[in-house]
Amino acid sequence: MNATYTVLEIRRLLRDRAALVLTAGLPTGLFVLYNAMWGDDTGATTELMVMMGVFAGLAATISAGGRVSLERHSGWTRQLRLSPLRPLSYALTKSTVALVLGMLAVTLVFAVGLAMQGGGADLPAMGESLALLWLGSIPFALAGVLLGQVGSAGSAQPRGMVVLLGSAFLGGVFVPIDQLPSGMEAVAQWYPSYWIDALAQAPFGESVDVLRAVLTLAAWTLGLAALVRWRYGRAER
Amino acid sequence: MTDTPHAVRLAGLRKSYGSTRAVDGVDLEVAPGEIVALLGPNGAGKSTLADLILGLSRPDAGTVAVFGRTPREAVDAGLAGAMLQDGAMLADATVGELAALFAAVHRHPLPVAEALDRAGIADLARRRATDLSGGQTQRVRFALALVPDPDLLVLDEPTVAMDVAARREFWAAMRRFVAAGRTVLFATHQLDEADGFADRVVLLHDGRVVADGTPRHVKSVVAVRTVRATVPDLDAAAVHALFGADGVTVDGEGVRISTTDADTVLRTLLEHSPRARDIEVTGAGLEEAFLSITEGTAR
Repeated sequence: MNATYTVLEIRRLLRDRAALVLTAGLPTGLFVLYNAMWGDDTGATTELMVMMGVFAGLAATISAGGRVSLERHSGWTRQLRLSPLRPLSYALTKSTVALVLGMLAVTLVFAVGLAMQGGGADLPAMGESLALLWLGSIPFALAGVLLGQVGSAGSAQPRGMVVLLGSAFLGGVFVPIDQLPSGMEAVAQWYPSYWIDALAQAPFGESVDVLRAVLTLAAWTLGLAALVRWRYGRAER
Repeated sequence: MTDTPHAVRLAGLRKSYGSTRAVDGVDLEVAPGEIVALLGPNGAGKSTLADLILGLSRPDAGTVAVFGRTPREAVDAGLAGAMLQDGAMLADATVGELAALFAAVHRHPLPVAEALDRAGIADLARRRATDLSGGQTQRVRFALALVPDPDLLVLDEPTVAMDVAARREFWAAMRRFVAAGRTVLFATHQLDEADGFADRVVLLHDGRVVADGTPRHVKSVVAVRTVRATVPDLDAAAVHALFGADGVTVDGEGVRISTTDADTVLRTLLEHSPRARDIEVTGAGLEEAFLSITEGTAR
């Protein structure tokens, strides 16, 4: 991975204000809305905060795929091929940038959550939960970049949307996981976003199978990293 | 290993996209220091050839060597730079940042300011790369190609979006580039551009080399003219007897003759047809010239 390129990509990310506000703002807005509807005590507020934190991380990282697809079809990646920069290095930079955007989005949700709770906030728990959400966004940053490498530019958006909604549903974003039908929860337990939510809820007193959570997330991260390596390695010939 | 490898050496090169044979058996050797124009109409295979030389696509058959190395090795070593037609600019980045990025990934880059200066765009360094005119964008691509300080430049239709002044300035910058003995291979569909800058012209048609030589030689091959006239006193058989069948069409009294020697055709016509009128001699476009060449070689 090239440091100059990664820094330039992060600077470009911060310059695209409209995309930044939309990506980070939507989950935060939903959180404010849901909290106004159901957030009668701090327990419900923190649960909603984590749910929307998961959503923020998913939406920001998966949308990175659309950017990769755009750059691929506009010819920018072709231009890069005229330099010694490797496709794999490009993929790692793009994953890093996706992760940075995801971390920003999650942090904004938590900042608003902190402001809502004021003095009643459990700061150590919030910090731990935030860090877990950051880490949990890694497999989805890889997934986003992988999505951008395949298919047409026109289908990048809808494909990303399908993956986002599926992951959000299995991650308990729209319906709390314990309220899913039991068959559904059994399926969700094989999916990373389920465990991101479960892990990030744990600091606030929920119980979680830590071993299974870590194993599932690690397996998905390694699997997606291997796919990225294979897909972008092929582009290198 | 030879002592001085060719700047570019293509042998038996083939590349198809679906059923289209974009490059159909090309052998080409370019010596260091040569300035070679790849001349051909759209669809002749120029861009495909450029892609193959740069390692952007892989040949179906045949070999590509750039300074005796694979295209990828040559690009990585900074030996080959290129200006592509469709290399997009990055949104939300300045021209200076793009050049700095290319400088950061190359091993022995030119200083960014110098690359911009050589491309004549020092004043654009702080501009957003996507807010430029077509001609300016082309010169940004030129600057990016110059960053590795390459020994070979491959240019695909480099002046296509430029106005006359920008074009003149571009070729002036290119002359400074080659003054140091460097090699340029550029694709164009304009005969005058090939004639004005190259010391060798390679004519491509349907993915094959149909002529290869000095601009003067190639011009004589492609300088086809069309003679049109209304000829009431000669029938089709008589016209074909005088001018042959290649490139000669007779439609009633109308006669149309494609030729590289319009003077002789006119003399013969007037000698045998005192009543010939509406005589018109026009220079043919490159496309028409190619048709006559390939029809000629097919027979």
